[in-house]
Amino acid sequence: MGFEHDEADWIRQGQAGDPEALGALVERYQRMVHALTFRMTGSMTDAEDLAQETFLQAFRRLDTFRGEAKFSSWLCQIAINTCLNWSKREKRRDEVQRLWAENEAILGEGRVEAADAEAPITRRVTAGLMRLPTKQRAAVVLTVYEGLNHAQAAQILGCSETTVSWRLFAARAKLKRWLTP
Amino acid sequence: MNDTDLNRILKSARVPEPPTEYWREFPGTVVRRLRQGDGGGAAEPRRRPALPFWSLGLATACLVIGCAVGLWLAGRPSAPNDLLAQNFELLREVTAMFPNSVRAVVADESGVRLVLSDQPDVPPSSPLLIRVCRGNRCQSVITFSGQTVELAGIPVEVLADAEGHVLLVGERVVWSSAEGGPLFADGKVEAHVLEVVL
Repeated sequence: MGFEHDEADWIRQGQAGDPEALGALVERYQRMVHALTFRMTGSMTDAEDLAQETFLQAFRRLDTFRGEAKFSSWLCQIAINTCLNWSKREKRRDEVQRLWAENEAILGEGRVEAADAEAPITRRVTAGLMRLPTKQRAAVVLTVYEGLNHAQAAQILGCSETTVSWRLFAARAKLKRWLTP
Repeated sequence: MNDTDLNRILKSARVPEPPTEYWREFPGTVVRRLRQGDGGGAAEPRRRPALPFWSLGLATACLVIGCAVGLWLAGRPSAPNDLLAQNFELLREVTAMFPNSVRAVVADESGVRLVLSDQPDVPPSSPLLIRVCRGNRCQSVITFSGQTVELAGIPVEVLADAEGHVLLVGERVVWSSAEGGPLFADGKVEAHVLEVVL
């Protein structure tokens, strides 16, 4: 059985409440969802919680999935909205995280490299992403990491393509400044 | 730096890799939470906010009253579920003790327990009795219109209409005492307004 065929079966069986089919869908997409939630939160703990939350929400409304979009895009939409809602709830924490990211950037590479010699780029990129406003971060995550075009990202974010383009333009300008060696 | 360079740098940032065991267990964790009917508003099992001091008092009060009610009912000759429906006096006492705070009194095989609201925000109305049996497990709930209760593990909002019918509205189920029928595939439900003055 091919990839698409398996997936369609799992979705149909999952809609009927089959736990094995649901487990198979989680197994297939867990890394994608974790990567997205990590890039949106900059924290593995939050990413794990939000990944769970994403799958729970998706499965609770699995009967609304009609197959018009790819299952991965549909899941992506739920994940990003879960992260955006989380961000609203955690406004204060978000602010603390942003300040942490700013400090990280201001204190400079020397400190980062000394503290985390194995992945200075990872650390700087994560700090840079966390320093962005949430919606700009979402635009970067969807287009750069998930490979969506502006129209697809706009559909997921519930805004116009122009808005996505502006958010990306602003985000890129900042990231270039922060990440230039 | 151009856009291509920036993309390259962004993509070179790795996502931390949890241990293999985590990936193996994650699907099971999700499915388990789903089957438990986890509400999942905010998935934050590791960061519970500290309980306010008064909630400890409230929890203790619930425990004491729950035990007292349980012992009292245990001393009676008939089954707790039926007693719960008949003992308006019990309901009066409990609602007098916690005015506008009693969301539900639940009786099942594990005993009788009170479900209280954090705030005294339960408007006075006629109590509603719901009895659910699934297989050989039965549960009786006395609650009020507008409250959300768990019936056989499924959260449902309980509503009473002007004609005295009871509606149970869940995420995937709607049941009305006017029409009857099953709420679950393998269960029976009865619900009606209790004509008592509290």
